Amino acid sequence: MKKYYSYRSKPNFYYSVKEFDFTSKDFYYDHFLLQEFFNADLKTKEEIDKFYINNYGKRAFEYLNDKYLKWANGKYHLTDMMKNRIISLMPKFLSEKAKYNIGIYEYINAIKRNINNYNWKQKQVYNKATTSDNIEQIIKIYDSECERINSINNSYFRFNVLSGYEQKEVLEISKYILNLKLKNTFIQIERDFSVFLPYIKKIINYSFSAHYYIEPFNLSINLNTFSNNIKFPNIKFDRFEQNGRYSEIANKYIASELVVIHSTNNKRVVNSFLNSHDIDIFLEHYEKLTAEKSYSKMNSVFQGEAGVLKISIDIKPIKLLRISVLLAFLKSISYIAIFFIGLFLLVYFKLFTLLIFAILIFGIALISSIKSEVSRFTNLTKELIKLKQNGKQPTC
Amino acid sequence: MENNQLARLDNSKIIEIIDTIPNLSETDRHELSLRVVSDDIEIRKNALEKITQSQIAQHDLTVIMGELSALNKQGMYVKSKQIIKTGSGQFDIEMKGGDTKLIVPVLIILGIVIIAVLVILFW
Repeated sequence: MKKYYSYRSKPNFYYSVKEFDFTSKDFYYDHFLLQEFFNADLKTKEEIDKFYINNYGKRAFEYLNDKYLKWANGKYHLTDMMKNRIISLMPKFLSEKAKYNIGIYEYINAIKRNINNYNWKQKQVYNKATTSDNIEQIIKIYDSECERINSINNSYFRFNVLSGYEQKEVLEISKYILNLKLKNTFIQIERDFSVFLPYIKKIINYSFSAHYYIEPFNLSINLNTFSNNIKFPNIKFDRFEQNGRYSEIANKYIASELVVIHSTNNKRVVNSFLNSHDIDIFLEHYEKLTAEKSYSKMNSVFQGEAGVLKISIDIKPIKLLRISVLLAFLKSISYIAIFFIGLFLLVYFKLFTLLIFAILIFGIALISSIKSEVSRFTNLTKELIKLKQNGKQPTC
Repeated sequence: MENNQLARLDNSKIIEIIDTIPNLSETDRHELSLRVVSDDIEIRKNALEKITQSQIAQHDLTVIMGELSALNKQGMYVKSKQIIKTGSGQFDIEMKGGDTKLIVPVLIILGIVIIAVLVILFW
């Protein structure tokens, strides 16, 4: 039996001129080499011709010469073989400007790569959520992050066109930007605390449950346990002065990063500038709710500059708490009664087989209900006693 | 306080920094300044939206609290859950309960019935 294979043919490649942004992540090196080949000056072209004849022979060169203009204008397709030949020979004949442009790509993208690598590692370090009652934890994170930034290294270079000094520049700029972003985050945390903590101090007697969550560090800080403002050590870091051939590009990149940091900061200010106003509303309504006759539960989220404050509280009026105690007591008694009545009836009428099934099916469920109601009753009683002793709202 | 916070949206400092960065062409400086200004417009628009949102939330809360209080005074049992989005976050308020005048007698009667049943059965 004959087998038929079908395949989809690859579309022909026609060369066209492309605009390259050397600061962008996407750099099509092969196309760049083709472009350099078709834009080569006369002297370079002569060198390429010689090299081509030496390597592939005169006939191959005649073919290249014949098709050169058609390829350059995109009128005739370039075969894979020809494309690969051009791409493999061109790195030897790149102009100084082309090398400089590749250097721009290498320089900027190495900085971006260093920053991305640090961010990726940060996610790995803080992938586990942690809760802390200790303020020192934030200072510790700050110190360890500073250390981590100062110990980063260049990840890799794609073309290896940068000198040792330029590679050092890349590393210093990456550290400068990372330090700046880190410092900003902690200034924002400090500002969040300066807004939130006075309120926490005010309400600490109400026994609120308050947590401040910092997303980049996956850290939740219990604010019930401390009320002092925090101050991070002021670490100064100097900007590295670039004197190399890429200083213009480096300064432009730093300036654009500064603009991004500035905008992000402003966005965060706008996200959080109503915090005081909203917490005031929250407290005002909390006071109102305590005067009501209902159970109330208030959960609130306030977006800070660097983190999120979550406050939650259960408001239980003393009268309703008493009713809950009574209700839990009655429920416990009725479950116990149902259990013993059932047991009594089954024994009285000598239904022992049914007794075994009843114990297996209903007995277990009933016993667990009795257990949960009794524990509810004891908890509510404790809460009521505590409330009477304090004369304040109970803990949530 | 809000005004103090918004006063921090000052762009003069960043424009000053851009001006002091060496080796930038005039076009680069102009482009960066334009970016700062256009971001600033977007941010201020967002701030206004948040102020409106916060005012709406405050109004909604006052209305809801008023209604709940009125229902409580009428001796009605109330069960409600409200989610209110504010300018800087969100409030979830859950309320359950109401006047206790009706609940207490019902509970007492229920208790008496249970005790009566127990007495009849085990006497």
